This record gives sequence, structure tokens and C-alpha cells, in this order.
Amino acid sequence: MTTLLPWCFLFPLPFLVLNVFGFPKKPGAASFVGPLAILAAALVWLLGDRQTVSVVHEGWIPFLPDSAFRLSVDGLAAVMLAVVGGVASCVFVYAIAYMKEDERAHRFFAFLDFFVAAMCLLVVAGNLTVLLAGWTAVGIASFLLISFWWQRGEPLQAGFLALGANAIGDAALLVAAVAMPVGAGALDSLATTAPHATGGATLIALCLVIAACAKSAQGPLWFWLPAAMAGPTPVSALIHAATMVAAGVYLLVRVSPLLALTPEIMTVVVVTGLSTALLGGLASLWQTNFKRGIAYSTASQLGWMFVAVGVGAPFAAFFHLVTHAAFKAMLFLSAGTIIHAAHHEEDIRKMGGLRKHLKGAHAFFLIGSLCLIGTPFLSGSFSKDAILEAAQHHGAPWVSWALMVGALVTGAYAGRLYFGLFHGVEGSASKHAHEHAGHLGGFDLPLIPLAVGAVVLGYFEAGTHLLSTLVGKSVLHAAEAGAEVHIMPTALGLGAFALGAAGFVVVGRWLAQRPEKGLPVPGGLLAGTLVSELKVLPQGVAAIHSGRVGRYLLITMLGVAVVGGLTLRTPSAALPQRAGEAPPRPKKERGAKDIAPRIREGVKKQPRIRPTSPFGAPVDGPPRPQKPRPEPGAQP
Amino acid sequence: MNGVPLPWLPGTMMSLTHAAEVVLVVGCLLVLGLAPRIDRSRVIPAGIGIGVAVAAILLGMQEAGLARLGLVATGGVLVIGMLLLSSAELFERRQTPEAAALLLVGGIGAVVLVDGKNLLELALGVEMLSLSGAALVSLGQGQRPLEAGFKYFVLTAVTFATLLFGMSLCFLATGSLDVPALGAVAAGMRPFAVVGVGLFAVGLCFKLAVVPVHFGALDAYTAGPSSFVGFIMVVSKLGAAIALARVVSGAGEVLTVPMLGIGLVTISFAVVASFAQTDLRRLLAYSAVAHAGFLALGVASGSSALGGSTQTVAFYVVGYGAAALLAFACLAGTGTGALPLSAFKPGGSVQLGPARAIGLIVALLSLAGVPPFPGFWTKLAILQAAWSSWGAAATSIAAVGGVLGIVYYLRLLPDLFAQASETRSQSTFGALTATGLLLFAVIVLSCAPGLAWALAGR
Repeated sequence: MTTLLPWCFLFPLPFLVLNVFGFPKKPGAASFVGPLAILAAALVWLLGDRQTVSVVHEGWIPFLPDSAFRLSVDGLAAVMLAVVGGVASCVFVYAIAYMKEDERAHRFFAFLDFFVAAMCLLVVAGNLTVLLAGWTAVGIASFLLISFWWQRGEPLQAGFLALGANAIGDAALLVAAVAMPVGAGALDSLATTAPHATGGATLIALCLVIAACAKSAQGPLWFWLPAAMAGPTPVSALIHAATMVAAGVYLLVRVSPLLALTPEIMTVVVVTGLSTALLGGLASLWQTNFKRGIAYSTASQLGWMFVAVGVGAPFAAFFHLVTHAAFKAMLFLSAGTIIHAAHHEEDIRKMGGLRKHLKGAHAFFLIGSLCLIGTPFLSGSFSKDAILEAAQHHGAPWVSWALMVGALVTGAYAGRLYFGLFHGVEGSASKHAHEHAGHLGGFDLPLIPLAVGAVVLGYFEAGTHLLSTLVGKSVLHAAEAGAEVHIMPTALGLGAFALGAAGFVVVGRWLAQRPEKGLPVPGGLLAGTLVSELKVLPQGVAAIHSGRVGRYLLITMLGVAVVGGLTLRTPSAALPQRAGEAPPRPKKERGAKDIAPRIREGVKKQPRIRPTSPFGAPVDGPPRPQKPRPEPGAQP
Repeated sequence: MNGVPLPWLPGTMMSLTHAAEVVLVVGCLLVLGLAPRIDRSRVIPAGIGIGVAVAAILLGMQEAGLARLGLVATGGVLVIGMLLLSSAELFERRQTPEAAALLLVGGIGAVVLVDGKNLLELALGVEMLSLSGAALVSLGQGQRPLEAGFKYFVLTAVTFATLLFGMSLCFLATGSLDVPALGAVAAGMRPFAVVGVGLFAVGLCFKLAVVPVHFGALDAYTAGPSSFVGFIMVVSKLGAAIALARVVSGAGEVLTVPMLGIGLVTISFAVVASFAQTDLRRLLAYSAVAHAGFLALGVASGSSALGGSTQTVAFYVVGYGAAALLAFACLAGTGTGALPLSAFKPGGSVQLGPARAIGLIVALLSLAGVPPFPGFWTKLAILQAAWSSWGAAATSIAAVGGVLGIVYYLRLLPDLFAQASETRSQSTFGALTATGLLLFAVIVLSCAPGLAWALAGR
């Protein structure tokens, strides 16, 4: 049974085929079985003897350093599979209700099935090539789902943005895949093989970090995630909150033994994570679209996980990934309920006072927000404490201080969203919600498992230490050998919670009560304008092709001249590197035939040649041009 | 080595490649000779063409190494080209036999280029490919193909002159026209000879369609009949890339740095310019240029621990060729006019039907280098070669150029998914068969990339 687990990425495919052909009649009625099966398989593995299962087919890709097809499931992968399967099951059930009125709902579920398959392939990948396949495929699934309502225009643009940003990550992984030394590439042995690569461990680690940043919307590659909110909300919950964006963190956790070898790359990871955690949180404060507000919060929380990886605490990062998946998916799905009830209105200024109408969504949103700010005894606090503790013990002091500021910002944006949506004066969109309040059972039901997860996951880990054991076994990490989660919060955790609560109640509430319900700074400062400005470049380049033969001919001839010139220049640079041939020797004048031109050149040119000649340069004093020294071997 | 004995010259053998060339020439003459009688039929010229192409494939199977790959690939492309003849957008329908003959001439050119071990042979191959290409483009409906064909012809003339000039300089320096003798040029480093080799390579580059000699090809691919463009694109790349790989490895370091520069500039240039394109055919033309850049990079990269440069290049051509042909097979019959991306919207003027929409999706994904399609494997092979020869900087530029394309290749994807679920279609039997064959080839290459790699090797 457990030997099937590496092939779990095939589970959703039968349902994909069914959906393509329009079965069953009710869209998505059967699709949730796929992720549920993945969850079940992962749980069976976790409850069993937990032996690593691998699949290896050698010689599949003879032209790559690692020619094998490798799948592998260890503790890390099994937990990730359980997360993917669990969240996806809930989201699939939720989407049945959410997409009921869409005429292309079957295609939507087919895309979702494809995404789950690709995500599982990414998780079970045993080497860089297979990882690359899953990595690119989730990017495409994400594009298809973001631009699901492509005819509106904006979702399509958002999809392109996501594709472009993810492509940077794909390129980095491509370089990593070819930069491996021959015979290496399996992910679990990177720490021992990568240092033998031509570029060394640093280059490969850097490539992997760039790839992770692109997937997890960190650092300069953050811009696609808020735009991706143009997709249907179940997609935002599944892909852009719980699973795909966490793939970057998952990869970093998996290769953390390699990262540990390269302290400078670890610093890069910490700085990237911290800056995204702070700036993403701040950016969330002025989003009038509350879904984008939650998206910035996701980027910020992923930043926390990056910090944890960067200070050498992959367990803390992965634990936060798991709890975050539960409570952030829940937050998104309850936001989806609001959006659905308010007729696809996403502007927070038109909301308010919803707690009376949408009681279920209110409860879930509140639990999610409390998890976010690290309220003690909810799962979010357990994982956040783990990160804070790791940062205090292993990181520089400024990391802890910055994380404290981050806690305050987290409280502020969570509070703004919560109070702005559910308290205060009713907005224009709240009235619609009132009419729909009665029949939202299909929306609330699938959130219950997520809510349970958001509450109990911390206790589960504190009681069993399952996750820390599994992560420890997968990625042995000296710094974190004894990492354990305790039920009682630490002083540090309490401090962070105090800051978060202050941000939540004071700053967040104050922001929510302002007329614009947020900071009055224009949003989308960079991403929008930068991308639109960039369009000038392709147009300029394409304008060379005017269709005029004269111009074509001119450029062609210039090009020919340049290439001809290049060939002439090359030899002097390339020749000395030729194998088996000595570099061009300085001229040795042996016979009269060689020396004759020199003599004919006369006295005037002599000094210029002298310094390069091994015999010519006088040992001391200025050259004596008036008296040419006879060369060795020359006839007087 | 296998061969065919020549009865009138006892003791001499003709190589199977030459025998295949003879078969193709005979087929070509047959079609031309019968032209007045069969010009009302689209089936008979195509049938003769397919017959000789299959014969060439069968002969090629007996060969080994590159010769086998060259014949099998060219024969395959010819079969597809003949199948697409049924939906060709000809200015005059009665020119079908001429078109079939021109396709065969192009095929012969590619075989000569792949097989050629002599600069004169290579020049002959280039000329056959160029002229048949220019003529095929000009046969299309309307004014645009005529204009594009003329431009292609003029630029061919100029670059061919460059090639001839380079060839004569080489001859001046070495007294020989053999490709292996080019090594002497490199060793001697006589400026004339070095420039000669460079100019000859530029002439070959024109068939590859790399910057700065891509203009003619770009316009021809944009405006030519879709049924022929895929053929012209693929046979040109097949012949030129392998010939160029041979010339460059013969000439040593003289050419590698210029080819590296050409490759990187081409990739960057084509990828950037592609973002501004709104016409699918134009986009595919730019894609041909971008992929040519990858080929130039492969040519520049020499041998690595995992394979020789000709093997890498041949492998890339096979992967690219299958996808590019598939794209154009799906578009066959859409005329020679502009093909704006907006025409693919539901209810737009282009309705492909399910089979061809799926074919186009697969082709675009493969051109974009998405795993597990062949474009992904071939891209990895080139990057691997580039990494072992040129290191991180060149590989990174190529990798970024290779993946950014996904943004514009996938622009049509949502529209095509919408089309795939509709049933309307306007397509001929030949075009559908070609689409099916190519889909099959692409799927085989996706699942077993090692197969094509082994075919491209010895």
C-alpha cells in the first residue's frame, strides 16, 4: 500500500478525465475523492512504519547529469502530501457550492485536478528534473486558474504576471539542474554532491533560493501574488495561500542541509524573508481590495518561514507552513463566502457590519485572524513561537527585533481586515449579503475541518513531536536537534502576542474606522507601472522589422561585418587555451632570416620590441638605441 | 557502411544517402514531368511525394548515425509537407505539382546539408533550400506571400554571396574545400582564411535564421502559406544546424565565440521582441528565431561529457521540429493573411475544432519548453552543453530567455481550451492526418527523450 504513495500524483487524473468529458453531471461532485485519497494514503504512511519509499528509473534522460527518474517519499513529503490532500479536499467541496452557477465549472474542476496532480509531483520529486516538471506544471495550473475568467481581461493579465515571475524561478531551477556534477541531482543527497559542482555549492544554493522566492512571492518577485487574486477565491485559498506558494518553503526545508553549507546564502534568505514579512504586511494596510490584503498577509507569513529557514530552523519553518496552510485557507474561504454573498464585490469600503449576517464566516474569519496574530493556545502561536525562539537562539539580535515589529504589523493588518469587514457601519455591499445569509450551509461545512486543524494542530505536535521527528529524520540539522513544541507559550511568544493584539485592537480597528478603511497611500505603486513601462522595450525591438528590404540589407551587412570582425579577433584570445598547444611564444630570433627585417627596421623601432623580447631588455639603465645589440645567433 | 552497387561502374558503391537523394530527385522529376496531366489533382502529387519520402526513410534506416537521422527526419518532414499539400493556400490551385516538386527539392537540400563533407556540397544544399523556400512562399495566395518571398530571395542572394566569398577565401588559404581541412585554417590563423570561415558560417546562419541574418526568414515565415512554412522552417534548421555544427567543430575555436555571441543575442532579441507580437504566425516566426538562437548556442558549445555538439544540435532540431510542424499543421488552411491572436476568441474568425486546438496547445507548450514535452528536454540538453562549455553567465542568459517565452506562448491557452470543447472544424483529411502523426511523435518524444537522443548519436 505505502509503495503506491510516490505515485499519488496520478490519483486526481481519472477525475480530470471525467471532468473533461463532463461527468458527473453536477460539476465537481466526484473530484474531491482524488485529494481525499492522497490524504488517506499519506496518513496510512504516517501511521505505518514510516520507511522512505523511492522509485528510481535509471537512464531515462541520458543527456543530463542525473539521468534517472526519481520519486521519493519521506516524512517531510508525507506531511506535505497530507497538507495538500487535506486542504484540497476542503477546497474542492467548497468549490462545488462556489462554482455552482458558472457554466464552465467542469473545466474549473479539471484544472483543479491538474493542479493537485502537479503539486503532488512537486512534493514527491526525488531529483531536480522531476521537481522541475512539477514546479513548472503548478505554475501553469496556477496561470490557468488565475485567468479562469480570462474574458474579463484583468485575470488574464494577472495570469501573465504569475507566469512571468514563476518563469524566473524555473530558469533558476534549470540552471541548477544542469550545473550538477555528473551523476548527482537527487534532492536528498544535495549537501554531499553539490559542493563538487563546477560552480560550487553556493551557485546551486543560490539558484534554489531564487526558485523558492519566485514560487513563494518573496523579495523582488512578490508582485505576482496580489495580482493572482483575480482568480476564483477557492483557487486563492488552495494555490495562493496553502499549497503552491508554500512550495518554495518546502523546497528550502528539503535542501536545508545544502543551505547550511553556505552561510552567505542563508543571510540572503533571512534578509529576503524579513523584508517581505515587513513590507508585505505594511502593503496589506492600504489594499482596498480585501482579498489582496489577505494575499499580502500570505506573502508576509511566507517571509516568516523564510526567516526560519535562514536562521537554520527548517522544522520551525515547516511547522508554520502546516499551521498556516490550515488557518490561511480558512481565512480565504471565509472571505470567499463574503465575496459570494456580496455578488463578487471585493472592496472593503463597501463592506462592514457583516457579523450579523454571515455568522459562520465571521466565526471562521475570527479564528483565522487570531491564529495569524499568534494568540496563545491556537496553532498559529505554537508555530510562531517556534520561529521566534529559533531566531532568538540562532539568528542575529536584529532578526528577533525585526520579527517583533513584524508581529505588530501582522496584528494591524489582521485587525483592519476583521474590523473593516465584520464591524462598523454597514456598507452598500453588506445589504446583498443580508439577503443571502440563509443558504450558505454548503459554504460553511468544508471550513469546519480547517478550523479544527487551526485549533488542534499545535496540541498534536506538542503531544506527539511527530513533525519534529520526521523533519529531523529527513533533513538532519544540528542546530535544531532538540527542537520541541510546548503547550505553554514562552515569554517571547507572549511578548509577540501582546504586540500583535495591540496592533489588532488598536491600530487595526483605528484603520478600519477611517473612511477609506486603510492607509491613504495609493496601492500597486510598483508592479502596475513597471510592467506597463516595460512594454516599450519589446515594441522598440520589434520596430526594427519595418518590412523595408533596404534596412534589412543594411543590418544584415553590418552583422556580417561584426561577425567577420569577431572571427578575426577570436584567435588571439582563444588560441592559448587550446589543449595540447603551448601559448604563442615570444619571438625567438634564431637565424639571419628572422633577424633581417628587424635590422632593416633600423634603430628607431628597436626599443619598442626590446621589452617583450626575452633577451632584448637591458638589465639596467635606459635602452641604448644608438647601438643595437647583436642578437644571439645572428651573424655579425 | 552500407551501399548500393553501381552496375555500370563495377566495384564502386553509392552510399545509401546518395541513393536516397537520387530517389528524391527521381520523384521530383516525375512530379514535374507529369505536372500537365495531374495538375487538377491534389492527391497524386502528394502520393508520389509521400512514396519517395517513405523510400528515403527506409533507405535511411539502414544508415547509421547522423546520416540516419538526417534521412529519417527529412523524410518525415516531407511526408507531413505532402499531407498538408491538401490544404495548401496556393495562389493558383493548379500549381500543386510544382509545390510538391519544390518540397522535394527542399528535402534534397536538407539531406545534402546533413551529409555534406565539402564546402561546395554545403553551398549546393543551402542554395536548394533557399530557392525552394523562396518559391514555396511566393506560391501563396495574395500579395503578402509574394512580397515576403521576394525579400527572402533578395536576402538569400546577399547571404549566399557572402557564403561564396567566404568559401573562396577558404580555398585560397587551404587549397581544399573539405570541411575537415578547415582545422588547418584554425591552426594556421591566416586572417584571410579565418574571415573566410566566418563568412561561410554567416551564410549558413541565414538558413538557421539567427540575428542578424534573420530578416528574410522572419517575413517569409509570417506571410507564407501555413502549410509550407512549417516545412521550410524545419528542413532549413535541420540542414543548417547540423552543417554548421560540423563546420564549427572542424574550424575549432575560430567560430565558437562568434557563434556564442550570435546565439545569446538571438535568444534575447527574439524573446524581447516576441512580447510585442499580436499575430500568431508572426509569433511563431519569432519563435523560430529564438529557437535558432538555442541551436547557435548548441553549435558553439562543442562536446561535453555527455554528448557531442552535433548530437545535441540534432536532438534539439528533432524536438523543435516536431512541435513547430505540429503548430503549423494545426494552422494549415488558415490562409496567408494576418492571424491576430484575438481571432481565436470564442466566436472569432478562426475555429480550429477539438483535434487541432489540442494539437496547437501541445505544440505551444512544447515550444515554450514546458515539461514533459520535447521542447523541455531539448532545452535542457542545450543548456547542459552550454554549461559545460561556457559556464554560468551564458547558461543563465539562455535559461531566462528560454523560460520567459512561456508568457507569450501560453497567451492563447484559455482561448484554445474554449475551442477544444467546441465541435466546429474546417480541416482536410490530410491536415488532420498530419496533426495526428505529429501529436503521436511529440508524445513519444515526451515520454522517451532518450530515444531521440540515441537516434541523434552514433
